[in-house]
Amino acid sequence: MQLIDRDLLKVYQLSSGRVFFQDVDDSSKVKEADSLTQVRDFIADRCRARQARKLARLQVQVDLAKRSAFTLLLSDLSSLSAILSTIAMSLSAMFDFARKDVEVGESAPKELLLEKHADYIHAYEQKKDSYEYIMAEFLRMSGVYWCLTAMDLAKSLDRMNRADILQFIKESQTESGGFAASQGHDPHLLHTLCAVQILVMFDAVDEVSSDRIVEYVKARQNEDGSFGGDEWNEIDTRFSLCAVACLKLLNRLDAIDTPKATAYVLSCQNFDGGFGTRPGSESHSGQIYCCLGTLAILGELHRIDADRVGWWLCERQCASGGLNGRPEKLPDVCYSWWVLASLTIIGRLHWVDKVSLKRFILACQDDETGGFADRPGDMPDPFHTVFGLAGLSLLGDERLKPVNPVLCMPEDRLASASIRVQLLNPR
Amino acid sequence: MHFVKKEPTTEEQKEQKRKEREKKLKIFSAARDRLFDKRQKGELDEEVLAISGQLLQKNPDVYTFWNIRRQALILISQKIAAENSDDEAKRDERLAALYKEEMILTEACIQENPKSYGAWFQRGWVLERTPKPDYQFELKLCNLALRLDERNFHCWDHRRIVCRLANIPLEDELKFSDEKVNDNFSNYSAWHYRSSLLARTHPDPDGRLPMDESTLAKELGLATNAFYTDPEDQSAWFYTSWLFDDQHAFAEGPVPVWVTVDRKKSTILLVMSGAVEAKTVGDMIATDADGEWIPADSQAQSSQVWLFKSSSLGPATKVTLSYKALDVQVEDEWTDLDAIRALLAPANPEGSLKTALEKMLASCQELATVEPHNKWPTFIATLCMRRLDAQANHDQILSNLEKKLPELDPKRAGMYADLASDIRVDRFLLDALAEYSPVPDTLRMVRMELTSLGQLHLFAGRLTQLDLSENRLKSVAALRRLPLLEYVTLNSNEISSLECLSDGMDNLEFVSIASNGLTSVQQIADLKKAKKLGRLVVCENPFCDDKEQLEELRRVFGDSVRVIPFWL
Repeated sequence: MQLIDRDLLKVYQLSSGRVFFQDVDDSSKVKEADSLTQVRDFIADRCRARQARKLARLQVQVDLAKRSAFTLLLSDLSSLSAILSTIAMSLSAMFDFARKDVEVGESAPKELLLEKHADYIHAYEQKKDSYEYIMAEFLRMSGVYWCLTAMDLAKSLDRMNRADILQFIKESQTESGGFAASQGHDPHLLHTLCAVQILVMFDAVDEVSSDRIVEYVKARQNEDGSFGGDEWNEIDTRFSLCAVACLKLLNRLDAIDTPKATAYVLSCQNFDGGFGTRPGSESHSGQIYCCLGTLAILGELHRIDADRVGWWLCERQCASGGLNGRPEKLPDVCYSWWVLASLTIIGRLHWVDKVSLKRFILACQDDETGGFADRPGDMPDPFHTVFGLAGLSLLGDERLKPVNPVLCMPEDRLASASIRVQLLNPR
Repeated sequence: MHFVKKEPTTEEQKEQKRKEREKKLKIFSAARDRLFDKRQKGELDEEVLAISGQLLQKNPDVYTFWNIRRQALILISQKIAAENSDDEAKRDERLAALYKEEMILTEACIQENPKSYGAWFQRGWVLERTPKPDYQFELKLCNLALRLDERNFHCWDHRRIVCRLANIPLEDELKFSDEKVNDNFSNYSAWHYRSSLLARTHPDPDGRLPMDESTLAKELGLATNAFYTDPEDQSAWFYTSWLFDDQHAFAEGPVPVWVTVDRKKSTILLVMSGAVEAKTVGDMIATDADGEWIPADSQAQSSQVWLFKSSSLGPATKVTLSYKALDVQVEDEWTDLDAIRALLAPANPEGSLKTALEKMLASCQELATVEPHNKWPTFIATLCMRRLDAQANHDQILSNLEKKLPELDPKRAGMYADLASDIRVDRFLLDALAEYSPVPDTLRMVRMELTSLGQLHLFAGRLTQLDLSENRLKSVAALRRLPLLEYVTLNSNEISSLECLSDGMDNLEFVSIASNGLTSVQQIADLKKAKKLGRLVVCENPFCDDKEQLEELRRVFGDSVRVIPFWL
């Protein structure tokens, strides 16, 4: 695979909004475009031209007047529709990408459209033979957990079909004791945790054998304290959280080696105070959430430098008010959960600006169908919906139930089961 | 959906999409059913590889398909081994070919979705099994993937796995990170890689700095270039702050700093320089009295402050503190005030390190004048001043944190306030140590704009009375680490809950929480659990004007606590 650097189409957008493009292949002068659509059409033409000349690649470089640059590599031009759908990511999205932030427009939703979200989630579960439903069977257990948590936070859990869901859960438990994403698929810690979370929310833990679940989780721990996702032993700090959260919910933390589990998580701490997938991996908000959550469950939060990781976390807030997952990345509503929950766990939620964050999250709502998208204007889905709602709950929206920042479940469900976790400086 | 903009679609487009999807669904379901069926029958063969391969190219995230594939590969490789048990070379050749197919598949999957956990994991899995791993090819693949997306952490993680398996020298990887950083100073992933490599390639012989001094100075220069080139990019700034950050005062691990033995109350209190678990505490303090060590914090396994509650700790009971060379019998109290001073005011850097930091500080301050709207140079300069000489630079540091930075960067005003507050408290404690001997058991930190309480817990062994009136405290969880506290005044703060004090405050007799904007008795009801509580002042809170709330107050606290809702 070789990059052909000479073939370059450069697109510029100045901060004033004017768009220019330069076809380096042609070495013609820089031309001004009427609109981004015109540039998009131009790119499509270039693709066709290159296809005709049987050239494999087109490199489109999007520059801003400042120093940042973004390169879109359109490889394998044999499928033009695929190319055009890649461009469907839209040039404006590319510019968002390059600016590493988004605009929260004036027309974006400003109020919480709670009923719409409840309807959206409720409808999602109904279409059992739909394309989305079947193609997502490999993550259905997690999908169900996202939907139920969203509904419960919205105080509408009773609209979901408890009996059907419990049946689905029982059918998904495998011989090993662990739960699969859906029947037929293999067990995994991710889906085992989701299953247990759902059972706790429905107060139905007694309807399955916890001993078998505990055995499955226990078997996932390695010598160094890390956890594998399943018998194939992919190691990731996400699975440390899945394991200890599962056992915490079942009150069986005694089943694993907790000092080693702590030691492993601490070995993943980086120069910036954050945590990654494994020792040596770059800090990432999602992984930080998993590591802080693990330490909270194990009562070991005093072992980390909370000021340092708190600083890294609050710097995830962009000018738009949204939170990103890592430096120089776009804000995304799901980080309103990973980052916000992490800050809450270490007692530093007030280190972000709540007003602009709330405005960003609300702007991610889809006011037609309900549900939240990753950022304003994109397509909604249950994953971003639950994290949008959970983020708003942490910010104190009274129409939602209080959410637990470690376990991402309504607090009242945990209180009923007498489950408490460590938090630093709670208010 | 990530990056998928919502576009308006016509009915015609919707119908066409529906038809396409129905077709795709049929094909998918048929293939998936066949695959599951074959697995159930134990037929893990080439057909399974073919079907799963097709499915995974379009859906590389379906983890079960990867599992089935691995099961098939294991069986097939066992077959190959059995068939060629007398010809190792032939066996290895066939196995290598089998796994090469796997590499081609995963490469295609990675092209389809460069962030597929399943595809990258499979590559790593194969590398560990194939008789002829091509590590150079793997590195080339990583290089290419990084050129397309230099922040792809799956790729960086895979690179680290390859380097480990191939025993690539760390210096080579350091050179690689050099190239990446010089290519683009905004490459956080490359800076991160450097941070973990340098600690291993150029360690500090004393174990106090992140790397040896001369390398540190060079890195400071590199980082300075980077933040000058792109002052709005976070990478170089985070890296810089790590370079000069004060590594812990006690690099060997937490040390004891205070032990208080109360033979009347039958308790021992221990304060450590850092958090430890119960076992460490038990090994450190030996006593004949029976009892239990409890962490002075809620739901904690590790804590800096520990309390030993006994029923049999009398005037004659031996209490021995043993830590490394230290071995003392404690009568009433043992303290290491030097250690406490070192925690409150770490030693300033000297010699070449000091020079390097002063140079960097100058660059920051210069950049701050050139980029007046950018908070980074000012913030990093502030942290650097604190590191160089926190006491001499005290006023400038506070001025930056309390005035300049909240103006430049209002979103992070909460953080700047807490950092300033911690500095004020630590300085107050330092002054108290200098001014008074013995260490006072009463502290008044009134009207200090406090939002956070620094290292107040270092005085847990002595503090019985605390006045924190007229500050901006929202959380009092820090008080939980002062189990000897008897009197605390919290008037005119912003406290909305005392749940964190619901256990462990066994000596608390008097609490005053007037003027905190409390609207409901439920917000302070948890104080009921403080066994010795005798008096509670709640004047000038909104709930005092509510008859029902006053009733509730009397009901919750009963006869044992004298509640005072009005000043007169």
